[in-house]
Amino acid sequence: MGRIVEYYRADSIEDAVATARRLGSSAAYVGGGVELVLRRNPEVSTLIDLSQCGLGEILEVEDGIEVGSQVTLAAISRSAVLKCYAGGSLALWSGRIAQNNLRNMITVGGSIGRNQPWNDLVPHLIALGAEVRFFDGAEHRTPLVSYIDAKRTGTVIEGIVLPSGNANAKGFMWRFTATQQDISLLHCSALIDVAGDVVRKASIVFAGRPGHAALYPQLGQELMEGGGSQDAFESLARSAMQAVEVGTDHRATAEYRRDLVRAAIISLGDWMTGDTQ
Amino acid sequence: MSDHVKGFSHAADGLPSAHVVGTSVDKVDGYSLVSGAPVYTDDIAAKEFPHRLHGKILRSPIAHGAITSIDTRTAEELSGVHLVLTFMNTPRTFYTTAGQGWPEPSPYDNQMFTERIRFVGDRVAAVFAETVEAAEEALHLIKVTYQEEPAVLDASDAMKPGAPLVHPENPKGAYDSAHNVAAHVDVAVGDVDAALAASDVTISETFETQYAQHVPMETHTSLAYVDDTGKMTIVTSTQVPWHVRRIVSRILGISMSRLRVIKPRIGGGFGAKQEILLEDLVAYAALRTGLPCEIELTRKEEFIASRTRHPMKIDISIGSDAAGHFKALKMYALSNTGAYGSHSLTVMSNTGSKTLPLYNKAKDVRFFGDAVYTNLPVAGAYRGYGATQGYAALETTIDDLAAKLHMDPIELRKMNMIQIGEGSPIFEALGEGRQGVAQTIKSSSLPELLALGAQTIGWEEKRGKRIRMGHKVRGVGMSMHMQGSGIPLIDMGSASMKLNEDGTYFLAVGATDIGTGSDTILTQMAAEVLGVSANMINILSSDTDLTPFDVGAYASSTTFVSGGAVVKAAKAVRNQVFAVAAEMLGENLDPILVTSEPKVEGDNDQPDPILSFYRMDNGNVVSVRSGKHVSVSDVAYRAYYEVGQHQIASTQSFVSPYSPPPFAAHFAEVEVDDLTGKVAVVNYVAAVDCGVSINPNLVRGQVMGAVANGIGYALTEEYRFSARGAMTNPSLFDYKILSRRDMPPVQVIVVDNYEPTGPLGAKSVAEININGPIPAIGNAIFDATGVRLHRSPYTPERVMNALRATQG
Amino acid sequence: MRISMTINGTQCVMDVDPDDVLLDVLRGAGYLEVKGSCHAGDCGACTVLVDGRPVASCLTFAARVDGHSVTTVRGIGDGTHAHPLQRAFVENGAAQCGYCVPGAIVSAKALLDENPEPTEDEVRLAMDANYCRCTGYEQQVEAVLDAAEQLRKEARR
Repeated sequence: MGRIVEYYRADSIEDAVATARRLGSSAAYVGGGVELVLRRNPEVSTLIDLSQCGLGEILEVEDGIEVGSQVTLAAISRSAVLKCYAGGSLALWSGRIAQNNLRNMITVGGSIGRNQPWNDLVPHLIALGAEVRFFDGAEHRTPLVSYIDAKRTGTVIEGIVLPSGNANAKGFMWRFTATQQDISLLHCSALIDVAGDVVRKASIVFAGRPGHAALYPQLGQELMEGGGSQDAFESLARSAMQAVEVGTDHRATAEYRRDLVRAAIISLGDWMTGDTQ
Repeated sequence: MSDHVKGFSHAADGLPSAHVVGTSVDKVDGYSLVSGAPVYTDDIAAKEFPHRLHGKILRSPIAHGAITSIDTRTAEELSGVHLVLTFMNTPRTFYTTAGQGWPEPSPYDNQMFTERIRFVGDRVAAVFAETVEAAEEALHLIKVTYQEEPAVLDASDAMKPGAPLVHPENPKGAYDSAHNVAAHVDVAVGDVDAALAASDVTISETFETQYAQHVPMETHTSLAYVDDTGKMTIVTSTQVPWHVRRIVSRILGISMSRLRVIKPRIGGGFGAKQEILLEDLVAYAALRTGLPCEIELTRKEEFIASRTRHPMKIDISIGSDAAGHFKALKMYALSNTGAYGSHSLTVMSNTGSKTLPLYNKAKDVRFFGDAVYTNLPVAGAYRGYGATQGYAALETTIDDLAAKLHMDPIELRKMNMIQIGEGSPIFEALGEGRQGVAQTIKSSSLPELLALGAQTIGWEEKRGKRIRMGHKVRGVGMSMHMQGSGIPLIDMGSASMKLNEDGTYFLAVGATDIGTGSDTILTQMAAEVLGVSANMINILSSDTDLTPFDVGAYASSTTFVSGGAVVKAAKAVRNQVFAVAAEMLGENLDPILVTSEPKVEGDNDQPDPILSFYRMDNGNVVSVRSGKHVSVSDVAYRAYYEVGQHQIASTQSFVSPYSPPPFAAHFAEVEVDDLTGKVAVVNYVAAVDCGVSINPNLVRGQVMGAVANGIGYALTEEYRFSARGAMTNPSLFDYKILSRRDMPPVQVIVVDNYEPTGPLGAKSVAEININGPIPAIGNAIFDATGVRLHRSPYTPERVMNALRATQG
Repeated sequence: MRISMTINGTQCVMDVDPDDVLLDVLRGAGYLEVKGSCHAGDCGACTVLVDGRPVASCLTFAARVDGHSVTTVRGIGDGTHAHPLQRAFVENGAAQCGYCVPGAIVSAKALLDENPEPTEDEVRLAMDANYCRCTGYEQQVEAVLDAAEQLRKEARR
């Protein structure tokens, strides 16, 4: 294991950021289901605990719902507010991914901070258009996609904001795993807003490719233009198989992952046309 | 009597009346286990020896080569380190790690440590230190240089000319180590090639099975200490305490009178713990340091360096007439035993001997095979013991033959299956690595199992229909199986029983309860004979000093073999009680009836003659002649304190020429997803005949556990290797066993049948049901899609590739 | 560092290292009913309740639990005062080797505390961390449903 010599309980986000700045790469925020990674990392000598920083709430705010970074998957799955948000997809899947004793440990902040390529929460939040609130001495708010791309260190994730504009949209998740509590060989999340026959909005995200979560705006665009016929989804599936970068790891080959990309899109079509989830 | 709840039906009609046998009494250790009592090896170590030394093993990073130098000085100097062991300071005895009977059928190709490296994970050194952390740190301080050599990483290459040799030292007992052949079998009855050539219809196929691990929840753990009398005591998570004592005694040269092996509660074995993996190390370290020493394998070590199921490539040919009557069966097994030949001969023997007799109508039969060394993880005993691999090949090939003959697979099997009163020449020709023992089937519910299973899965309505919902299509498949009940004329179990003054009893057995519930069912058997409830008997199992000998928990032997010993001991004690009771009642009783050796067989139609004079009834002896009775407690007080004082006790052992097979018919309904290749088992039926179910709840648990393990083996469980022979998924994160959410609904159907050679009618149940899932699911996939998979597990990617290959 | 927590209702103060995980701390303090197996959060054997919710004690830093309450299977009941869940496990043949059972029972306890009338699927989901290699899960699931019924009966009295 590593060389952890200090466990520091920050009493505020200011305190946490100041401590993280002072210690540089030898400090890491603890909790959120990433404990094993920290214990195995020989660089980390100080753990900073954020549990006293008041980041554990789910609140309805002016322009959406704010989910604190210390909120666990289990808490999301129980949240009455989130059960009503975007068809309840986030609450539903937060209660099903990983496994019961980790659903009480994995947090929003831990998932985003670590951003494992096979993480199932991050791609869904990206599809939902979540923004990240973070603190690095000053308050910031930025779309989750750009937060992850920027690979910020030292900042404290305060939480995410799910935009209120999604009231009529519905979240979709399709994850392919070897067993139910396995990580994804391929993950697809989407947010779809349909009015009658018109697709008003579509965000499509793939993860576990085995690369990190990525948003594919061109696929969303094609879905909005293509309508909901079976042919349209077959065509979208072909585009997705072209567009989504897939690779080979010890769990699956790139060729097979391409099959899964197609399966995800066909399943999205089935879901939109009411066949199945 | 019959019983039916959701997921479980149990028919027990026409059996002799019983008062404890056939009831689901609570497990004797149940309340201890559910309250988390400190009963496993590491619990005992932590509780009794907080200042013990912790051992860690340095494992090879290369697959094949030699250690050219090893420097342990820095490691030895690290604070807290007490001992570093390598090939330079340990005994060089050759032995086998396989915990089997004597003479040992596995080659002596193992040493505690050697200069040779034979697989990634092989032992290089061991450190014993005051903390786990210090031991781990010391491992990093051992400087080793290796001379790497080309490795053989594919069993198909092992026998090729010029292949690297895994055991050039030509170990004793290896068949042909100059060609990497650890073991070889060739048994023929008649002329199979001529019979195949003369058959109307023939089919030849090859099936390959994969590396898989037992995944006991408790990893291998051993503790050794020298007790206050100077005796070396080993507490260890083992299935075979007596074999541990014998093998460690030989490796280390410790007299058996100074060596005691205690089996505490065990957190699952499934065959992995029929192996001496750590006991030699902890005992030697305790000897050298004088301190208690413990090793607990990590989960990663459990995968890479404990034991696995032998991967096999099986070629099979079946010849039949046009109506489907089997004429010829030919099976060749290429078994990969990995770097050491543990169980190599016997597992491979069972691949033939536990499968081919099921279809005894074929008169010309040949089974042959080679178990080859490779530079890969070591295979060993695993529930099913070779039969699992054999049935994967046999039962899928029969399914294809049925298709070729345009027959219902059930009908084809019925025409050819073994029946009551019949034998098979294979029983006699092939035992576990040597000549077998002729057997005649005396009990079988197979016809009922086939009928009930077919009805429950909906065979007639669903087969061949390819019912489609969107991109998912359904199919059904089935398979049929037998196993054995112990190894005839080899496996021996024994039991000691004595009476207490209050009419309760103490039972000591060598049988090894590894979580199966054998302590409970053995208690029930004794209670049945003695006419008391199970809670009147206290049981102690498996302590080489305190209990009598038993070969251990393997080969589906405990219920049958150890159960036989318990029945005999209980009868002997009962008869001694009857003798004192006769005195007390002033009645005559022929002493021959009391002292003659109790029997196990035929209780159903030939009860013991002594029962015409006395019987046990709820703590009393009742005279059949006079109707008078005395209490067993009064008998004990008289015998121990009053008149002609003597101990009422007996030690009995049981070895049988019989190994009655349990039977099973498995049925699976699957749904195959065209888009992903994912196979979902939507319904599963396991119909089983294990003789008389001593404890139906525990029978159901054995069936369910084996089915769950088998479905995992069929669908997901598989070792993956790097190009250099290192396992790339050695964790439960990457090697997926089924979770609670993955289990399909399983209907367990048990049809009891009195087995006249078994104790109180019982046969075995532990292993047989792991044999079903690969063929039953494979056959269901075939029914659904027309695609035949010849390799397990049926992972989505593999199924997808197969679907693509046929659909173009 | 010094931390304090309530373990099975008893206030405990202990000295721990910053990288100690709860599993090791509990076993070191004699709570041997918490069983270690994979030490990587994959198998559920070491599950305990923290503030009534199941967590993997092999991953949880002990320091994180400072000021919180921990419940092990012994805090739910023991051999002489068995909880209905424990009785149901014994009576349904749900414990074979028993190694997974302390973790499985605490997961079930957390479920029943929150949802006294769970469906079979809810039971399976709420215990999906708890691998069991012996039972095939069925009798364990039935045990939880039986215990739930028993507890509802007791609550009505």
